Amino acid sequence: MIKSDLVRAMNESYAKLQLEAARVEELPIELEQLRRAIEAANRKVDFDIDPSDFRAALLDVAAEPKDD
Amino acid sequence: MTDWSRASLAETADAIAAGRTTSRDVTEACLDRITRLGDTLNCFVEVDRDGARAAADAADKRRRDGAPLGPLHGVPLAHKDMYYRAGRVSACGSKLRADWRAPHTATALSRLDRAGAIDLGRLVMVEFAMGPHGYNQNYPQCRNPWNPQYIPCGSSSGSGVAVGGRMVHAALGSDTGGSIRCPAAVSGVVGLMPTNGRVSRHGAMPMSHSFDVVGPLARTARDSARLLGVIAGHDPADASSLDVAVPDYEAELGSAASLPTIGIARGYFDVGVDADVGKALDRAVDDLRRIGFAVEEVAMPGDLLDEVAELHPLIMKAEGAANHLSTMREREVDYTFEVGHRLHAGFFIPAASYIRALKLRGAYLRSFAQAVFSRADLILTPVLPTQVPTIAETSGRTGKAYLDMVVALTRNTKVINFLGLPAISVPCGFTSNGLPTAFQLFGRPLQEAALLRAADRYQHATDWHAREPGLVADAARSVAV
Repeated sequence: MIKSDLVRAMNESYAKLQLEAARVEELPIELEQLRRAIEAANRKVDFDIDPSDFRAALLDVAAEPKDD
Repeated sequence: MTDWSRASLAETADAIAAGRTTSRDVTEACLDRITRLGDTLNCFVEVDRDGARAAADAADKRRRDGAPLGPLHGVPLAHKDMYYRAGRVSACGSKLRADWRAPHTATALSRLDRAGAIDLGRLVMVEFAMGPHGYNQNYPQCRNPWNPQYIPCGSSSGSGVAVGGRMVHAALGSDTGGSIRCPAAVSGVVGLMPTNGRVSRHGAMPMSHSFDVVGPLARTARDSARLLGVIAGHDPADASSLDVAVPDYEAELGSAASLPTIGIARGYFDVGVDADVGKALDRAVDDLRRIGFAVEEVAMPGDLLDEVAELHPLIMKAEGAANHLSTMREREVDYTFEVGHRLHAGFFIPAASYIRALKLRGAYLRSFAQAVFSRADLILTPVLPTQVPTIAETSGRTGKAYLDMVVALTRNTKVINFLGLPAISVPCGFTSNGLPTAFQLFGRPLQEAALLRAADRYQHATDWHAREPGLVADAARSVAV
């Protein structure tokens, strides 16, 4: 569970933003939502895939014929 | 006498080229509309009246001199205030760049210039293109042309309003999660998001490098085809630009080839659809069948799309945060509330997770295409599943309520950005609040011609795109009197 203390510590260590106290309290809710995406990504990624594979996929999919 | 400001871009350009009207007359008609509606709808940041008149006069002289004319010769356009023009201010909807002058001109603008378009000015946008609602506290509230109490959507809010309000014939927008298609849908105009990489982003303010797409908002599919033919094509100045031949989109509208098969999306996109929106879509499907399209239901891979909907903000927020880290540290006070709410979480996303999400894009695109495009060429969905909300209903939200509103507005559009596919928003009726609604068609990468052809056939058989907001008719009547 992400808590506001963690957000505050990460902000002080890395981001160094002037976050209002109320915003620090809200951010864990949003980060929890994003963590579901992070977990989904963590489960499935192929070791050998390059992130730029997306460009190749676009052209591959463009060229595929439709099944009739 | 024809009021050319209310005609389509293609009709107007052809009339100027044929000498049936002049660029100056058309430009004056658009400037007059801006004068009459500008203070109500607040869609312009800046109108360059003198520059537009001089450009229109030069365009008319070129025609009189018999010089070669481009496909947009003498037609007034205006663009989202994030397209750079060398030496001119491009504020990007922000205080931070209120006086910032661009060092170079956007490739899309250069191509429109070469095609003969007139640039009337800069259009309001959501600050740094971060928000689907259309708010920007840095400017007076931009308002929906169909009813000023309703939101114009965003982030290309001014683009949708200016085209829907008949102030310009078309405008460039940009789309990272729905920012062309949603404003087009709620203003009753056509919004085209080309394939990721089809149109150069060089000189367009970045929001999220992975998802940003440049595209037009216009009144008809034919107008959109003409515009895309001008702005599409490889650009070595944009690393993401696809080096693929550009078809003659306008000529392809009349192709004798068999019509594409249209799939009605079942699953994910049909969740939470308002009854009025659903009726409009059912009627559109009936119309498409009547025109001659083969239409069948196609099951969407719901689990994949649910994950895509979660992965989209992960990438978008991380990239947006990277773009804004320095200025957010130094001048956060100059950012509005909305941008903070879209960006703050991006600073706390682990780099490894961001990269893993990027690695998934290609695999998800391949899986999605195999599941969906084996059954149909194009897929039809609502753009917004709900009726357009009012400004009062949506303003002042904070925390989770704000984020939920963003999710609701972009549910059906942002997943298409993640997959990089082309999509078009086409007006298809009105809901009980009197606001327009629209369907979205999307297809395989680089299938813009099929999207435009389907939309064009639909618009030949229906007149939703030709209906005008009451404000426009009132303004035109007052001119006639």
